[in-house]
Amino acid sequence: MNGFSVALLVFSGLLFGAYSIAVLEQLITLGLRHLGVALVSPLAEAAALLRQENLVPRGADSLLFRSSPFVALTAVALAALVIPLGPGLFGFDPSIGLFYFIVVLGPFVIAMMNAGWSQNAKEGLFGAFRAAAHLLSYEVPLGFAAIGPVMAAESLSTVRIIEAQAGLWYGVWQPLGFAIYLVSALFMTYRRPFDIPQAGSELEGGVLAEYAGPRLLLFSAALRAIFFLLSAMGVVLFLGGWHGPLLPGSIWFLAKTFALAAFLLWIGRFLPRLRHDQMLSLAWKGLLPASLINVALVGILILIRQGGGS
Amino acid sequence: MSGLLEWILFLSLSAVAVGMAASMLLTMSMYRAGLALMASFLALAGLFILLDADLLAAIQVMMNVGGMLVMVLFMVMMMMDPGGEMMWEMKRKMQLPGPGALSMRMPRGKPPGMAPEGEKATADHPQTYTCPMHPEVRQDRPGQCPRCGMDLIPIEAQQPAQSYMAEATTYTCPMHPEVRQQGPGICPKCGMDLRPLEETGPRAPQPHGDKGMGTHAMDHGLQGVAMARRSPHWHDQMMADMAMSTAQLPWALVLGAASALVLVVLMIRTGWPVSRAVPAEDATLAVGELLLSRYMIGFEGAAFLILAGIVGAVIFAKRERKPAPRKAAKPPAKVEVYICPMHPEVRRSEPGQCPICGMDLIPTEQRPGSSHPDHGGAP
Amino acid sequence: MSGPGLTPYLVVSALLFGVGIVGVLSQRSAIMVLMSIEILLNAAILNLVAFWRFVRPDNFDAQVFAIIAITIGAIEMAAGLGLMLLVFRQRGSSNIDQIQELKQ
Repeated sequence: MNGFSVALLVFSGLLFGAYSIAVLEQLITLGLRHLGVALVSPLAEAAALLRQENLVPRGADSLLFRSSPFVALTAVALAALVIPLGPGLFGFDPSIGLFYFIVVLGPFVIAMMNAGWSQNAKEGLFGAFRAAAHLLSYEVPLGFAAIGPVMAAESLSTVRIIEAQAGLWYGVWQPLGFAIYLVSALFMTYRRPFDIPQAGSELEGGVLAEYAGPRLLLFSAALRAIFFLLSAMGVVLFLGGWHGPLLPGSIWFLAKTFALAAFLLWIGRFLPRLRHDQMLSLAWKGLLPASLINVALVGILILIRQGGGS
Repeated sequence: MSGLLEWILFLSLSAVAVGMAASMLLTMSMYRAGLALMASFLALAGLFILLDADLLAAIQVMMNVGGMLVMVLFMVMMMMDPGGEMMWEMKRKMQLPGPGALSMRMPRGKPPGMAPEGEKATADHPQTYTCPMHPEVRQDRPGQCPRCGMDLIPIEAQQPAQSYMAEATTYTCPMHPEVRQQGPGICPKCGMDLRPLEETGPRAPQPHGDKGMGTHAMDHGLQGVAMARRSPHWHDQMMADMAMSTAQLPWALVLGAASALVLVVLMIRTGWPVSRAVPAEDATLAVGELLLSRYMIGFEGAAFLILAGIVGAVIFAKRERKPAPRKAAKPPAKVEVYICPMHPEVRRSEPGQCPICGMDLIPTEQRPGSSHPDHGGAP
Repeated sequence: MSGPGLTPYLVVSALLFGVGIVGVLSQRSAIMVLMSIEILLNAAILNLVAFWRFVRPDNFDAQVFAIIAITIGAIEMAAGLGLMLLVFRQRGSSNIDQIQELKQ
């Protein structure tokens, strides 16, 4: 398979992932009985958005306004290349796969900030600042939480990390790291309890306030796609990737990803939305020490396992 | 990869890197300047990938995305017109030279002489100088505004011959409704002719804080400014104040070009000992091993400094919490009320924590219309 | 044809250095000066990586050097921004031409 078809395949997989997250969101709020509605309503919403007028607010920084959705989608698409759906099913496997993933998602936050800034509106501006606060909050704990599996697998490559989990999933003996990763994932994808930069009731949509029509569709797709990617990465790091009895690896991978995404969406319903200063205190005073403790714990456990094993 | 593809990638990435760095200096929007620099560094990361240094490329992207984000935030905080929109509008409406999006340079040469009736400071018309942005600043001699550094402009003297009818009506500036005087004249802030009070357009809302001119007001006022009488000196002043580069730009260009030329010549002419080897090892492992073995002292030093910083911050933070010595210095007549920025209904007479949200209470002065906390809190 | 050798990368870094010099000397706002200093630093790091790749690719000390240089760049930017923030709070403007008190 040459590079172009791989890229196309990955991109369509990503869009399918975004669609399935939208379906999951509907299922979580409506309940499992309304499966039909849940399957159709994201498509209906997309069609409605496509028919809306594609406006640009007055005084907006039009270059940034128009380019932000594409930058967001590009960042998400590039990050999707390193997620392996099954043994041998991945875009490309650099030796620094996980690091590459974290780094490439940085410009996604930049795209959100540009979106907020370029609207020439108060809500967008505040949303942009809060999105920047998000980036500063999640980056370090995410890195530290991801270091646990890297230490255990002795490699940054996503494929190697999955292969090393053939015995025991990392989520089982690194629960603290798993929890920190999940919290950081909620940060990165602007979900409750951290959805301040783009919440509907707070700041009328925040960074996405003035977006309408096809651009809003692109942004919604990018947000759901990044949620899908982070759930997938959580499965790669902590839930054993494609390992599982009987069924082929990719089915297991998708099932685990959806389960994790559903879990994250579900707990979001019970937690109150955090204010941005509470969010920052949580990140720097809570998550960061916890992730340092996690690194120490995982290191100790690895040494014990190595000492006791071969 | 093939040689031709590598050349194409190299040339395009280099063009982006150098071009974006140059456009950072050319653009009027500070936000875009930060983004341009980020794009330049991302192109550099692409060059690192071409040079087989993948780990360095990833580190470069990570550091620079975060770093330039912080730069952009600081610029938005500190500059008066970070989006460049005010200056863009002004350029368009006042027909100042240069394409819209490009930043303005300082005007060259000496500023043209001021209109004769403005220069002389006679006993009858003492010449007061004020700042176009801060009309409360007044002084008798020319100089710089202490608030923003702009050159002070003279408040041009009123026309001496006026009918007493004209004297009786209040004149105001359509763009600056706070400017009022009893006779016709020139607005000290923008140089527009003042109009009698009933002719002015809808009042523009006062700009919030010191940091920006309401674009709404500018919109209505700028048409007038374009047509109003403005002296070459004033025009020169406006260009000087909106410029992003100092008057030394020609020298800077010369020095920059000279240093680039010298370096290019040195690079091309020196015979570097180029080796044909190809990096064989996995860079991540090799760098990791080096860091753990030879450069461990760096980590130990950094950890020590971080620890010292945290300990120092904790120790010094505790001391600042005691307001008692400061309070004693205040005159007792002033009643200090402490409110919570998020919940202004919470009022205490001493500092503490808000019982609703836990934030520290901030002091505010007791005034009849209690102050609206200007904070980006919940609407 | 083979890919670009050492010299094209060095030329690019020299050009970037020139742009950085122009920025440092001519900008009015302190933050733009800081950003131009970043350009200078990154031009030097590009030089470093190009030399690593074409002169001594088996010795990874150069990559460690580059990592340390990038880190120092970030730290120096943080320190500079902190200074500028304090200066700005004092004066309300970031015009560096005004910061002349040491010069008598």
